Amino acid sequence: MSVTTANPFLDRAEDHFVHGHLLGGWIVDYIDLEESLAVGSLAQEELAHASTFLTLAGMNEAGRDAFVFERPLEQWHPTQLVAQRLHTWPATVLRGLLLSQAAVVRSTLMASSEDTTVRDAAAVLAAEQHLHVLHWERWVRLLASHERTAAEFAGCAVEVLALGGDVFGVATGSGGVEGQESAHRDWTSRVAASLAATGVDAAALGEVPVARRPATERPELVEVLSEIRSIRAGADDGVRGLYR
Amino acid sequence: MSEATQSAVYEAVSHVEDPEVPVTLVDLGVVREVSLDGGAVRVVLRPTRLACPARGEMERRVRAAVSSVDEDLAVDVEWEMAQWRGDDVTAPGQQVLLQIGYADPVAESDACPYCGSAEVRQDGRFGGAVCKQPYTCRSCGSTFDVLRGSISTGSGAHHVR
Repeated sequence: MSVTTANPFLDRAEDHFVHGHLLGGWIVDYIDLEESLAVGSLAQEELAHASTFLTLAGMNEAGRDAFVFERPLEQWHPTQLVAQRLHTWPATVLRGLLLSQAAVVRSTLMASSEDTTVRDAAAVLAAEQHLHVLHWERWVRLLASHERTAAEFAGCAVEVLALGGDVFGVATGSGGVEGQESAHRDWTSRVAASLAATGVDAAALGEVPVARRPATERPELVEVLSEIRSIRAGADDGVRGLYR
Repeated sequence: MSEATQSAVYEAVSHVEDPEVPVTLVDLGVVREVSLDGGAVRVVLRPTRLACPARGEMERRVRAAVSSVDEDLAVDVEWEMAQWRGDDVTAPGQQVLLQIGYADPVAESDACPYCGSAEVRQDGRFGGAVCKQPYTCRSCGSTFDVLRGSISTGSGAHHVR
């Protein structure tokens, strides 16, 4: 399948899909049952939002599957925030906050579309991601304010914010997307508000978005994508073969 | 296709229940349109949240209901990407949900469905399913769920544990 990510819906689908996959790893790796349920729902919604963007880009079920399972790795350009696993809970929380705030900003931009379907979807996506923002903000408050977690949280913030500069960036050579710099500014101000009481400076996200790099330049992302695609690989065509 | 068939198709679809709660998809506000054109039936559904995991089963049940009228009918099920709201629930659906321990979806209230108290605590923003928010009543101690659609809910921070 030859699909570039010049269509902004496809960039967003990549971010949501890989984030949903990575969040899924926390479902069975957390001591609080309620949080496991919540993370499961958040992961589920990230995957559904990826599917929504692919649908808005005109893909049917087969196209959506091909986008994830058959596209060459050099065509993947997700944000650096999902290009590595981030093994700690505070880093996962910060990544969730950054991505959900970005999704709200993108939904706001989509709300001015002339296409009714896009506008309707934007309203749903904005509301659902708003709930994600609230969930992650609560964790930010808890982690940043407790004496046992505050130092680790601050350290993670340095690590995670350094990865976020490309959230509103596009792949090198694919041309600009109108409004991406103002969207980046809107996003950084929202993130700054979410982090205001924590002492973390959102300026680390930069003043303008930086370009996204292809998966082939990011070994850990290649590993994550291989993991995702393993469901379709191996004897009897992987797990898919079981359901035929 | 006759008007009688159209009516029979709607009647069959109107009996399809949600896979999780004993309320029909019509009463939940999930079924938005049932139309018949020649030998083709079009059913438009709207999920409570985009990630509703019951979509596949709902679709299977709707297809089976249409086929029960005439198995030669073609069925096109379309999922809308649009906002589902609590007030999409019909009055009969509202009554069933209150009886089985959901807060009033139509009033978009988080009052306890068992004792009516407004003294409640939200136990998180996500519960046992993507469309449920868990609550505990401070007055009678009951736990219950609020059905959450895809509309903005403000800061919602006041009750969260």
